[in-house]
Amino acid sequence: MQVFKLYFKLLRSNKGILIMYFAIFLTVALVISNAQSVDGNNNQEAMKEEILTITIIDEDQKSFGNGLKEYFSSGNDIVDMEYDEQKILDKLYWRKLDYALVIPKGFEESLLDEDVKDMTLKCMKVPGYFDASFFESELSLYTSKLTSLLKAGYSVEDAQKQLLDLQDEQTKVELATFVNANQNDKSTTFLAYVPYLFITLGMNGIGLILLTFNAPLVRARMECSSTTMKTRIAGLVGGILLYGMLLMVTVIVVVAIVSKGRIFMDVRFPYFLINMFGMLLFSLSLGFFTGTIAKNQDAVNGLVNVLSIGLCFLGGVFVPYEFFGDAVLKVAKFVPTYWYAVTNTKIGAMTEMTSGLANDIFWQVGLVLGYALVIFSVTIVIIANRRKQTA
Amino acid sequence: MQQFGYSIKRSLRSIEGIFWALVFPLFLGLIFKFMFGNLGTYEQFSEVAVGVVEQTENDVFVEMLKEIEMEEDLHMFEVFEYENVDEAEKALQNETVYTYIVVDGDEFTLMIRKMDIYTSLVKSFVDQYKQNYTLIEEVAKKDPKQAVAFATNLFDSDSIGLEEIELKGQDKSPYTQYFYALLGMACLIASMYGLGHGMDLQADMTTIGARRNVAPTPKMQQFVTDFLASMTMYSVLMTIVLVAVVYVYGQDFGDNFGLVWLVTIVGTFTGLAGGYLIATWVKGPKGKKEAMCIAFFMVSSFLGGLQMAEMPYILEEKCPIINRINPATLLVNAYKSLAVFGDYQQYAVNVISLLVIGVLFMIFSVAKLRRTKYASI
Amino acid sequence: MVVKIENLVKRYGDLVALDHFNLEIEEGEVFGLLGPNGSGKSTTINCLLALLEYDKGTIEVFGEEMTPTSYESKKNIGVIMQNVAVFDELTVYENIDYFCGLYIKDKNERKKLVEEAIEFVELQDYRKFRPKKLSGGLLRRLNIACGIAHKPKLIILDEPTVAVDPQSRNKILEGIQKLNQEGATVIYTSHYMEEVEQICTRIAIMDKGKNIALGTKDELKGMIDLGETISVEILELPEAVKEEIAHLPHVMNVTYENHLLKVRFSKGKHNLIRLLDVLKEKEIGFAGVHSELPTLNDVFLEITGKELRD
Repeated sequence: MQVFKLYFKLLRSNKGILIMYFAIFLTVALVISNAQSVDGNNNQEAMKEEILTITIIDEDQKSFGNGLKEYFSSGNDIVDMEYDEQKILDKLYWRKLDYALVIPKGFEESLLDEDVKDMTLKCMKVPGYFDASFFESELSLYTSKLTSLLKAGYSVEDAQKQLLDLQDEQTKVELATFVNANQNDKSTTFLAYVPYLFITLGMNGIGLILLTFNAPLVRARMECSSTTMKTRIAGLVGGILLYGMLLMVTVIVVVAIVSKGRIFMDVRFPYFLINMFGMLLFSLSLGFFTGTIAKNQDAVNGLVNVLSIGLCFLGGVFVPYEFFGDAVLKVAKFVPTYWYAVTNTKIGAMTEMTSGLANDIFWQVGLVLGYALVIFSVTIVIIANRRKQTA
Repeated sequence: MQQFGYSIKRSLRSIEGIFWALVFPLFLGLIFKFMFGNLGTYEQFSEVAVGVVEQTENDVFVEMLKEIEMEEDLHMFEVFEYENVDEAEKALQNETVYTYIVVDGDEFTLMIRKMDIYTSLVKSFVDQYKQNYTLIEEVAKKDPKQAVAFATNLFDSDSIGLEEIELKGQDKSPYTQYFYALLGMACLIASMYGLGHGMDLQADMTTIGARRNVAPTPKMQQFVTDFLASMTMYSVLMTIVLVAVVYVYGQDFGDNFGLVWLVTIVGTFTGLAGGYLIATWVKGPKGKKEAMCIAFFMVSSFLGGLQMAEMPYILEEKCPIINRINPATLLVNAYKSLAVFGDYQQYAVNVISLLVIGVLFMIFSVAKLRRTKYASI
Repeated sequence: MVVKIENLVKRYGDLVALDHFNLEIEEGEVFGLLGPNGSGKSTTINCLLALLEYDKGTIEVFGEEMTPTSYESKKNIGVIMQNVAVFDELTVYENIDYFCGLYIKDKNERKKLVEEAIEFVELQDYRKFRPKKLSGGLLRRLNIACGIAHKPKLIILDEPTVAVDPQSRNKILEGIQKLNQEGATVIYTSHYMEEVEQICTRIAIMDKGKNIALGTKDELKGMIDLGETISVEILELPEAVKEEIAHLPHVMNVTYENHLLKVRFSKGKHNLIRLLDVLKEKEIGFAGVHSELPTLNDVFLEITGKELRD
């Protein structure tokens, strides 16, 4: 009980730093998740395609250019610009523009007149940027259809009108019934960043306090006292768990706020909680471990940053795991944060509990808990051994 | 000179210093290298898994779906055929396929889990198929004789050529951004050095500071010596990190290594100055100042896109001023100017902004440091 | 005159830390600043070193006004702080060399001085050790070496023996006396009166920011009436006898607690004989008899009405 109480006294005396960490990491998680969330209350929102910002600079000033603009203005943002490489560059630089297409003078003539050598369109884009290549493939489909129509005797205007009409012929897209239309809502995306929150805050908070407990003189004094090691560890673990509850409650409050309270009525809520709880215990045991082995604040800081960033990148918290290559995926499977992320996505997309999903959650959260248990046991062994050495 | 030498010696022997300056960035770089070096699939859109359920047969469509090639020998889709909707639904649910298409003669319905780049690709293909089909009908209506020629044409004809006005930079990978942010962070970690040195100069913060204040060597002279030593030391460390990122991790920072190096050094200066600023202006114990310091470089790096490369673009929409003054963003953008755009004007703007911020940090720090008498110790 | 402080006033908000404080220290002295914790000793030192802003007064060192840029004066001052101030990353030798380098620019001269300092504090065997590996006493000695390596004419020691084992403490005190013999003026602050009595040639007693007494230890003791304190172990002392003792000549006060009779006499002769005569006359058996001359604590007690150490 004494140890337990002391734990919270120390927590209070470090509250300045802790509040700073809470504020920073919460803000970081909120900003990222906000940027990535789609507040979809209906399927339309959830299925919206990327809107590209495109400029079509028409130096030819013929009907081709106008038709092109009209065609691509549906679903994209077409902006007017002068041809000025530097200006285009500046906009591409800040991604205020995804693609710049230039129709050179005399282009339409070259299309129609067999004798004139075909001209090419010109473009500027950010290299390796996926959105730009997507637009390019659409453009090439459009122009190939256009040239075919021209060969079949259509005029440029008629051909373009024909193509514009076609645009309405869109394939029907439906969200599968087992998918929750809110799968990318703010709650889910915010919860995806919970590992970063838990690991940084858990390790910092616990590390900070255990350093005081483990200061050689303090430790010696405790070991001399009549308190048994069991009660001492129990006190520490109790303190850590209560601190963990504080973390959990903080996150729940934030989720309640971002979802405007809807989360409590959500079928997914209890499962989110289960997944979070697994991550929480993992982070706490990591904090327990760090605080036990670290000799000073610098070591805690170092471990926190290496582990939090490392685990979150490899676990697909920062860069979505959907993009992982095979090799990365193989490694990620050894990282608990990956299993948290996978489970979180699955829960986010669920509409009702199925046996398959329950099974997935059980094993995946179980795996994370397994890691927590291993780290916890290793820490206990370290503490016990250390006692022998001092004795 | 002796002071300079000892200052270097101290930095070299400080395990924490070496960890933050060298080990931490290189470790993160290793993770990045590993992850982004293996992220190819997204880029090359290798075969997208698509399910097909034919309620009313349409062999032409299915055949085409199977045969279409992204480039030579690379199919666009990997097609899984299912007997009924239930099976397809199951495959969609357990993520065997990204989407499945319910084919009912000429009618197609796309069932998805979520709209993403893969499902867009499938949708686009189905759209094209339908549109081409309609076009052939239209042409046939107008002039049946043309129809066959048109159809052949439609599938064979080349699109209009597209000529790319190449940017002057070299880098074509969107992931190098993470390495820019990484180097940006590494530079700013110099603030940890600045913090220590700044505190050791002030009589009211450390006893060493008091001892150095009562010595006959003027305080500013001691400050300049320390500062030059940290700059030298840290510049060497940053050069190692930079060389490792460019040559060992193989990241493309453009042709002009000299300019890349220059902005790295300017960044180091700004980072160092940031540390001095925290040492001189933040009140409280060492632990609090260190936490502030870590917060400084982590938050700055976060805003510069370390965890999420899109961060600066989001800020550019919502609060562009941050992009103009955040040291990590300025560093990232300076690298990007060189490597991606070959844009020296942008580069200069970023480097100068970074320098100005560093100088401002320094002026504020020196203003406090110059003080030789204290109200309390 | 090495140090001259006139009318020094230093306030921390409402608290007056130094209240019109005056002090003059001559060359060759080992000057003790004695006072309880919080009496203003460290504040005086920090003002003297031009580290602290003060509200009023003048401070002169070596006849020059002391300012943060009095580099000529600073060259001749050596400071040993209460807390150990060395770099963890540097070895014993390098630390001394570093701090000495702030005073002495010539490399060869410095080398000699550093060697002498190491020898002086007897750290020859620890030259290549980092501070973290040194025990408390050794660390203190390193701290001292860093402060005196440049052979200063004025050495200021601010409580250098706090938390130091007796053996190291004696070494330190001997060292200070040796430095003094070699010509250095020493200012020594402490709240251990025994140390101050042992080594200081002149002592100022401070309380609440004031210099309440100044002189050699004999002069200080002469300032008070107390001549000696005689204690006698007595099993039982009737109240009447205690009364009678209280009325003996030169007696200032009498206490009897825990079978110990304590009688404080003002200066006078035959005090012991008169006291023992009374006891003999009343047939009161006694065991041990001790006579103590006044200590600085008695001086402090008499002037302020409280003990030096609380």
